[in-house]
Amino acid sequence: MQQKHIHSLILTATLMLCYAFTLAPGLTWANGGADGGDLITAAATGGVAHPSGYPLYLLLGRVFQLIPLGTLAFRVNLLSATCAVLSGLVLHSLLQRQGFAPGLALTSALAFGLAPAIWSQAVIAEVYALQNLLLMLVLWTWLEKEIPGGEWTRGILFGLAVCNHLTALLLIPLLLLPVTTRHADLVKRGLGCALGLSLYLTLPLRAATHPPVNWGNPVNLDGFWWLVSGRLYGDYTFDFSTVQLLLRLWALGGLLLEQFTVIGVALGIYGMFAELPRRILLITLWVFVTFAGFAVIYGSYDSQVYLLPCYLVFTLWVVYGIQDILQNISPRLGRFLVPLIVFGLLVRIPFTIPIVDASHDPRAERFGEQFVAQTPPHAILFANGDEAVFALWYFHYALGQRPDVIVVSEELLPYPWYVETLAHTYPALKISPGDSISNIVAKNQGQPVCYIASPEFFCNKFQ
Amino acid sequence: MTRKTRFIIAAIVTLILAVTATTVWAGSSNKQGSLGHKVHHLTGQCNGSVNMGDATFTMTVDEKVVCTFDVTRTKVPNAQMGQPPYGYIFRSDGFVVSGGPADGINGVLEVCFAYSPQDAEKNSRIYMTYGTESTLLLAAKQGTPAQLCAATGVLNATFAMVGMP
Repeated sequence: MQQKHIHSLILTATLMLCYAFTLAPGLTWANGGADGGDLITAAATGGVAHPSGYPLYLLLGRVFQLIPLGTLAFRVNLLSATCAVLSGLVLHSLLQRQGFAPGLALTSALAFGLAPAIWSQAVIAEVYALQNLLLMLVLWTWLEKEIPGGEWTRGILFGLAVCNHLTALLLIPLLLLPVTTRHADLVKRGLGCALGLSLYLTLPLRAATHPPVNWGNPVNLDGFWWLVSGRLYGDYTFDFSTVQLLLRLWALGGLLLEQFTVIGVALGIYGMFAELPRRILLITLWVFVTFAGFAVIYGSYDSQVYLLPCYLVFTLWVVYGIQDILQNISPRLGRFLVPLIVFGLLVRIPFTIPIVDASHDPRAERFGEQFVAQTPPHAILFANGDEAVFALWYFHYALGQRPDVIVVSEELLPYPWYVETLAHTYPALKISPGDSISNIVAKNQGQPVCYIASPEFFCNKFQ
Repeated sequence: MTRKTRFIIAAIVTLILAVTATTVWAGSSNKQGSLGHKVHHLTGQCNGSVNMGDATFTMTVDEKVVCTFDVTRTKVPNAQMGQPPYGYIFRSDGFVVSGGPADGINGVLEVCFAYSPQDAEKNSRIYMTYGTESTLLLAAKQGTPAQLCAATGVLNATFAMVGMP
């Protein structure tokens, strides 16, 4: 067996072992995974997830849900782990093709896969492990001149990345970057991109079946655009003070240290100034600056997850830094430096596990048990907050538990599409567009009402 | 750039980061998740309701009249309403109600704000600004969960809940 194949096996086995040990066995809120309930339920019921709809993730999630292993949520968690392992393998392959020493390529791919932020997204149902894989593939197509499928592959992968997360739009300048200058190639690239993006057209088809999770009900152009443009979150950008902005910029450095340690950060900064090929320097700098900038200015509380592509390009800088030292300063140092980094990575694993472990977080599953046990028969549940609402969707719609009750999201009540979805899902519920909770309670007198105000399930009965 | 310069830059930047950087990612003032936060603008049918989440607007006009009305949230009510009445502060966002039936057609607009026990303790009231005129409306607590509701014949105005500091 060739050395590169042995290295790929070592990489796969190590990452799989680490991810399997910390993978969430069911629904989880660990590592900012509250959206998991929405994504898993939308995949299971043929529905439409929160903006921008995530059509690729829903399709792949459904495929993984067919694996006869563990709970429905566990199978989707498995999708994230698979994507994270594949990301490591693509990085490994890319580094080998760029001419780095096999040992260095393996070490770097391991360091990337075991970085806390990357690992944390590999063990929960979220879109970011898949997004990391897609961005890795997109970068691979731009750093390699000859790739299978040529310009078609470049276009399709970019389109699929945008289908999975809108932040991939930050890479649009790469789409215009010439690999060759032939007009026909750019046309192929554009057509490939359109082909990848066409996956968004599955969303209206899903919505037309009236699923219980049907964000924006995108059966017409208004609803479709509201969904895929992410208009709901449009005012999140710059929605905080200058002080918080500066604190985030400062935290960016701290998070880099958390991923790469002091030695890794020093090597990365050194590598960034090393004599990188101009094309690689431009691409990696663009990715780092735009994604870091977006993460910093975006107002959601967990926007540091948008830094994942920054960690990817920082890994490349670390590799270039190490190579520069080995080639130009002390080739003999390589005998010690690479094994030292591998040793450091292995020693670090027990310290990383408590940060990323999603296997011992019972909160979401306990919430589900309480929902089943404590909800009065035929009650109307008003819930708010991502954790509570999405978990209720999972247990109620995806697993079919407590079919006698009605689950209503307080935050979504203002939207006509949501009222329409509720009316279709619960024909017995008396509800009209514009109704407040009080109106709904008044119209449906005789039914017990619960108000779930926190992730800890507690049925506040009003009658 | 020489290797020595690169080493010095890398060492200095890393040292500064190692000594001073934090890993705490500053959140925005409100936790903003995937369910979104307060809705900014909605359009409803006359003879219908608009629910903005923390306030509901129900317009009633002659049933033969077909029209729509808009409700737009303003996070700084002072901009439309000026200062609140003496001794009060704004306890909600402002809501601009516009559109509705043509001039000369009468109707009733019922305005309801979500009404927490804290709002009750602060003696909260509903405040309306119409043109250059502003007034406190006669409001009553109703429904479950509680709302503070008032009705007015003015169909285009700005509303907010005010209460004691």
